[in-house]
Amino acid sequence: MFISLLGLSACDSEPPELMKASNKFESDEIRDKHVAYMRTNHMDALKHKRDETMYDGIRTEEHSLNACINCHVPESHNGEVLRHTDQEHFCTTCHTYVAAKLDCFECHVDHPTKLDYELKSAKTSISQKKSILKNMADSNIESMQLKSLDKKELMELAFKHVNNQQSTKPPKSGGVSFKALQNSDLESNSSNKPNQTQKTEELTSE
Amino acid sequence: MNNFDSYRRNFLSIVGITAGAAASVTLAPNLLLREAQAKPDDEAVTDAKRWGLLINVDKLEDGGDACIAACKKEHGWGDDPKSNQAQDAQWVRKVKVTEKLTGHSFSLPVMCQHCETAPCVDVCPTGASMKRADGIVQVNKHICIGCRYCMMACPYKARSFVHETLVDQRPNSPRGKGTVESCNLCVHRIDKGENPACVDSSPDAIVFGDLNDPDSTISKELEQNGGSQIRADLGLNTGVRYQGI
Repeated sequence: MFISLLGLSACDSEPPELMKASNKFESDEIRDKHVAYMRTNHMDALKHKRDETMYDGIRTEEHSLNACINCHVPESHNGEVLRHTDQEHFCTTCHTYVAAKLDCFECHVDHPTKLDYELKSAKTSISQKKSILKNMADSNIESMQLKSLDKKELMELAFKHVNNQQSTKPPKSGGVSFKALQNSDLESNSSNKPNQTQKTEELTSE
Repeated sequence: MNNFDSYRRNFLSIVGITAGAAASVTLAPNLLLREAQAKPDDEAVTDAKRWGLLINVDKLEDGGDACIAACKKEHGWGDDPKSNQAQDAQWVRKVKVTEKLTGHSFSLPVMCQHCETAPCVDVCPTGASMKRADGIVQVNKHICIGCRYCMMACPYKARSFVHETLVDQRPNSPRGKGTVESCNLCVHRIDKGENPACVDSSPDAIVFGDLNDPDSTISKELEQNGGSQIRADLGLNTGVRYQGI
């Protein structure tokens, strides 16, 4: 009797903290519904969608595994690609906790990957980046220092500038260019990344 | 398989036709990705279309190297871990043909021929090797057990087996150890209204289109100049046809 009580008290442990998703719902109510539905049904929804896609070619975003990954898994975590073998991975954290084997990532990619057309849009965001730098120079924000800065420092300046712009703009309109900027800078210095991710979190929480 | 009742299917096709018509009016001509309109994302494929390829070997300057490279890039194969050459993935193979008498030789890309009566579908014990309603033959890797019967059955050697654990697959082309894979005619691109990757890499030499539509470019070209099947004697009615062989 005592042992079983001990066992019960062990079940009280809190479920693990999950990684934050990158997109935001319009309201907390919609988010809570999504979370409640997915906690119980994500496996059935994914399996249903998988058959619809295989047999009928239905490729909507709803319940698409790629869409889940793109929102729930960051492109980089502490400067590295986050894989399903890492405990921080959104799916792995919970699946380890409940000891349910996760088969999806034997075949499917476990982190967001740029498709060709998205890479093209990343290229345009490089031109956006340049135009932002140009605007900075035009508006004489530290324009005297620009010449002596290297690429990394230029990027930090650009991010600061975007952050300033975003605090004055509604978050939706500013968010797009910032996100694109962040994506396009993936190939550059990895030491920047922790800072950048922190900034996104600050932005989205505003 | 999901079976929609006929009422729903008819209703959806009517909705699809009206949506397609509206789209073709509003889109500028240069935005049309290919001659056949893309189906709406949420509509199931039907057997109204049958996708096919027509490959003109004479116009393939490099014997198909460009389209093989495009396929590798699109589906992420060709650089996989392996313990010997026999384990190489082969979504498309470059096959060199030489006539013994004259010594004349040429190369052609050979991939899944998307047979109407596909032997690989017949032999699959789990139903993983499947033909979609629009004629695309592919492997449902969710239920593939890796028995490789389909590899034995295929007269074109179109299929290969994944022997080692893979990482960093393309998001639209999941591949994994223990399953069989082959050309799926870039089914994810077709569903979006785009051409397969090989067609985009060699647009002069390869035509993609609907074999059921007598007005499509591929059907007209086949009607005028003909196109042969590889191993036509097997009577498989392949979706991939060749000119110049």
